[in-house]
Amino acid sequence: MEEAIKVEQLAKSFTYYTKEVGVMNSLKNLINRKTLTKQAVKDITFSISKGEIVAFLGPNGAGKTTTLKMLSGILHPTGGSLSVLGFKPYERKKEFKKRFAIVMGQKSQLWPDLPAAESILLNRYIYQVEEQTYKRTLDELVELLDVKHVLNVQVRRLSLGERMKMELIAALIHKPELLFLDEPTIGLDVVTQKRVREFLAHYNEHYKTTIILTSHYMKDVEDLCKRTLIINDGRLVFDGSLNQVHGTVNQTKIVKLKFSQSVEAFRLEPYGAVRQTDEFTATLEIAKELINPISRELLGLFPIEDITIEERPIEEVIVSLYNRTQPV
Amino acid sequence: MSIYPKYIRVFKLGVQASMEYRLDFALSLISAFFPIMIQYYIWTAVYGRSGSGQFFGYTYGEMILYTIVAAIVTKIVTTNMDHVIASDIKDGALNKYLVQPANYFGLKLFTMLGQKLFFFTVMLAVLFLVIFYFGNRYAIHIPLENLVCFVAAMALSLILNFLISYTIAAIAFWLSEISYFFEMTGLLVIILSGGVFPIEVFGQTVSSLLNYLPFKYTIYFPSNVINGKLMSSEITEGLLMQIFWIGFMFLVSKLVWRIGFKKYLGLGG
Repeated sequence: MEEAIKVEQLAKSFTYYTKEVGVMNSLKNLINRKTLTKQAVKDITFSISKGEIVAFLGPNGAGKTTTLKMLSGILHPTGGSLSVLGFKPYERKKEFKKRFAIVMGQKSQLWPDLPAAESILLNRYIYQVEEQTYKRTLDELVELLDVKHVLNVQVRRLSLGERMKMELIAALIHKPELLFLDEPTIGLDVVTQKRVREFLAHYNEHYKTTIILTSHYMKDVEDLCKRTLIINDGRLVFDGSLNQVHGTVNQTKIVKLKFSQSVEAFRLEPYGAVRQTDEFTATLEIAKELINPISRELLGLFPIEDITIEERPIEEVIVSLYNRTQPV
Repeated sequence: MSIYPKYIRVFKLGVQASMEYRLDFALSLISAFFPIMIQYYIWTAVYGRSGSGQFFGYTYGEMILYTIVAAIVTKIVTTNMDHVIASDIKDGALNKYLVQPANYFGLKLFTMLGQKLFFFTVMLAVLFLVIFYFGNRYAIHIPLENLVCFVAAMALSLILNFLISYTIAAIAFWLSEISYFFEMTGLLVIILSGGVFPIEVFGQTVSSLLNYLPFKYTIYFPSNVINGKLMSSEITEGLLMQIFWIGFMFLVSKLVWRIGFKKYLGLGG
């Protein structure tokens, strides 16, 4: 597969100021401010093939948006090398800009006082899209996202979901090969989130557009992205599919027991980490390779009415990954 | 396709967006009336107490006319773009322009021109009414060629004023808490431009200093073109100076923005 993005030992550091609590310190700061350097991104290396959908996952302040900004040329890296569609993004060449788009969930690129149709038309001129192509693309996108009826409504009066869909149309009107989405589903209701996800999946499949998104919603990532890059504290700590997260990172399973008679909690302790118990139920965390012998033993020893064995919830596994600072 | 349609497009969008603020515009017209009233009474008192017919080279009628004309010219040429551009820089809205194959300066300039077109036309009509009325009342005669030159001077001063705002707004690259800064610079620029008094009022030293700055070519100069204070050779010279300052400020803004951008992009500096 041809590479869309190649990043090697990418780094970005910022300088910023701090202030201690109190008026005196404010005065001190007027004269002499403490300058600190923050390493927002530290030596990240990865590559992404054309047509992939990849998610950047990580807690707030992990460096996801900074990475996205470097990939789109908004920020200049302080170290390492990167190549996007064969360009160096920070040179901000016109030919490069015409081939990608970025949508920021929290920042609108539409004119608030005018209907979205006007902003979309402006993008047609900015990206120099032929009229025929423009019409066809617009009709198709409007159809797919089901927003024909609000195309001529002032953007200020649109719901958040409608506005987001308009942002997507404005970003896709020049058929970019590469699409960056920074939290595209933030603040949307569950139904609209699903709609946006389905649209992105369809679009990616149809046009082979490379899509890179950041999100806090696990559902976005699970449904859309075969591959996930987890960033924590500026480092890449995981690169692979979420299923793999279960395979390689997650060494335990959850066993839920339901008893027909009351069972004292301490009797369960030798078999695994007890997460929760009351008289008639218990939840244990048991190492994967011991699941078979232990569950057999439990069935023999306790008055078990029902037993279920589950994977740990994905959110929980991710949280444990967030705490890592070394690659898996 | 040529590269110009996009600028024509934002120009049109600017016109449309400005129409959304009709009421705001009407209110701003009314609000311009109050400072004019204050000045009217001040100047009436000043001219009334002293026996001499002239102050700073202006007769009573010329002074009142200047006050009104300058207030209207100020309304036309002040763009408020410094606020808009500074907040674009501050809250990161500049990003969306950075990733598009378009030029931020060009887009903002043409948006501003579009937004101003409607007001420009209305205000010009108001202004001609004022001139017509006062011209008769105070027996000030304004030649037709002055009216033509005035429209040209206004267009140039709008662009010059935009360039000044655009340059000042770049300060947002370095300072982040700056809303009062723009209150201050905005007012200062208007005063220095002659938007409140004719600049002769500041005395010999200051007004000769202002000759070496671009400000007076945004309000003072066009106001004096229309109220008939300037001779045609002075008007020609003024127009040329406007063009010179537009060129000069264009280069200054380019330079300042280049340095600012380096900081914005995190290149240090």
